[in-house]
Amino acid sequence: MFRLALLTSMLTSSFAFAGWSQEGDGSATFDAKGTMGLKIHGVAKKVAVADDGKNLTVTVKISDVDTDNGLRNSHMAEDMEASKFPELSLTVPLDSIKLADGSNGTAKGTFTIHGKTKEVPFKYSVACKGSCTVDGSADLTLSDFGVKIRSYLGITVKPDISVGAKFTVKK
Amino acid sequence: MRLFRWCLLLCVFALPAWAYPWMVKHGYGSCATCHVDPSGSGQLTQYGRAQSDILVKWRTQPRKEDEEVPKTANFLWFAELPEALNLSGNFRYGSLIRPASGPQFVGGLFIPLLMAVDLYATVNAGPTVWHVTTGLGIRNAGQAAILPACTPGNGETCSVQWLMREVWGGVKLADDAVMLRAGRVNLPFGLRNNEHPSFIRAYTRTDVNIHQQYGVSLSYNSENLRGEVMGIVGNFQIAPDLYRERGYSAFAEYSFSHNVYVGASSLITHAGADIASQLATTRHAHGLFARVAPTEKLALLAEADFLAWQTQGQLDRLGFAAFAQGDLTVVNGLHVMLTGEAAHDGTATQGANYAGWLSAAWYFFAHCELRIDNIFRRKATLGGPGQFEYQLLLQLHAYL
Repeated sequence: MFRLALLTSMLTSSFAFAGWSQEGDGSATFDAKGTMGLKIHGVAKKVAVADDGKNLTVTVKISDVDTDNGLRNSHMAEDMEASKFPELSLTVPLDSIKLADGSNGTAKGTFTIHGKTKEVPFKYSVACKGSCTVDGSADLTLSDFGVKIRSYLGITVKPDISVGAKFTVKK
Repeated sequence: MRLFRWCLLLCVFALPAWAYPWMVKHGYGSCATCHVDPSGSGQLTQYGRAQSDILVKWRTQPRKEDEEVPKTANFLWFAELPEALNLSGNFRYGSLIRPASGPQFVGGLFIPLLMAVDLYATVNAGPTVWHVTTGLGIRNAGQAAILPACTPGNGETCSVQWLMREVWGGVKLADDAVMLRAGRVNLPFGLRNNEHPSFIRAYTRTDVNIHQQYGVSLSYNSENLRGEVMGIVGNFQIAPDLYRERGYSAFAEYSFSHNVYVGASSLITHAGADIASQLATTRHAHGLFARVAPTEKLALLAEADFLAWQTQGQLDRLGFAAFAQGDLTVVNGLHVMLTGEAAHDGTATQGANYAGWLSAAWYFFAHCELRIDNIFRRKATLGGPGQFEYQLLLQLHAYL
């Protein structure tokens, strides 16, 4: 009886890790605004997607985010204390989204940024052709995560940012 | 006659501007972040100086991510000024090589050009901003001259003049998104491109060389929308009052994404005596412009304007001016530009004026630029096939 239970547990676990797996690198975007109409567009050409059977977690390394300005990248990493918190992530319960062709909608996920977590709504859409491409976006307030943004030579970036991620997964 | 030609050429090729609408390549759609003038061009803010060093300057080695902006980005390449005071200068010297006849280079005319020797000063006192530029110019700059005053159109030769292209005071409101200004201000219209002899700037009289006007302006800069509307009360640096144009000039530009910007401009002015025709004229210019950065290396700029001149007792003249430019960053600090333009002033000339520019700019040191322009022009004439000309313009530009 004990052996059967163990076998069942192992099989369940095995099935869970054989869930959605990532294809390709994916990408993430970060759009911030500042004083006097400043717009900052950051891109990470790599995201990591993991499925633990219950949640889908999308992770971006801060060092992968490029805002087309080396000094700004450096300031961003410092403001987000990337040496202590090198990644930011979104964890989404698999039962709150539908990964099927044509599905879209709004769901809630947990963002972890700067070592702090917060549940935030996000929009997503899915297109499947063999594998499924997921495109999602959310609006965040960095001050909610304890991130203090500096003023640089009279210009200040506002704490409200939009983040987006696009990646492909398959079963 | 030869002196007159020199003056004419100086007029056509003075390029004192410091405005880079191609900064959309780097996501800078709003000019107010880097320039004292909220609609762009001219004096840089401290932030603008830093971005110039980071994004514009040529480098032999890639910039380190955490490398702070060097002192060479400061005024005079070393001076640290208090936050409230912004000083800078604009020096542009060049040579124009124009074949004496035909397209052959040999035997051409070599003309040294002192294009701009200007000093800029801005004082920031709380929400208020006080800005003035002053410098020396030659006859072409008559409309921006303080002393000696020149009466336009009557053939006076003023030689060296003391200029004041801009002088204004303003107040920033709504978290710096709004700025109300009064004084001698650049006219808000279309692309604020560097090439002020381009048809779109010359025909609309909206360049940043000499076509500033006195008036009151209200500018707005937000993430997706920027614009400025100005009530023009005339250029009080010309006399008599009959020559002063009054009316409005305005533009608005919307950002559809971080790399696509589309705008519209409108200008109507009236003068008792137009500086060119000497007749009472109402001038119209209305158009569209766009800035698009398909990649981080390429910026596409375009503007097209409808023009009209209304003079009592005469048929209205209708014309146009159009401009398209591709600016490619070959390597950081080295740009190649291809420009095409066309215009017609509504007179009886056969066909339009056309021009093509093949240019390169090398930002070889902090706030220093070497630029070369190959300019091919077809000038429309009355009852003829038009005049074709080629000019080679070399420039050294230093921004103090």
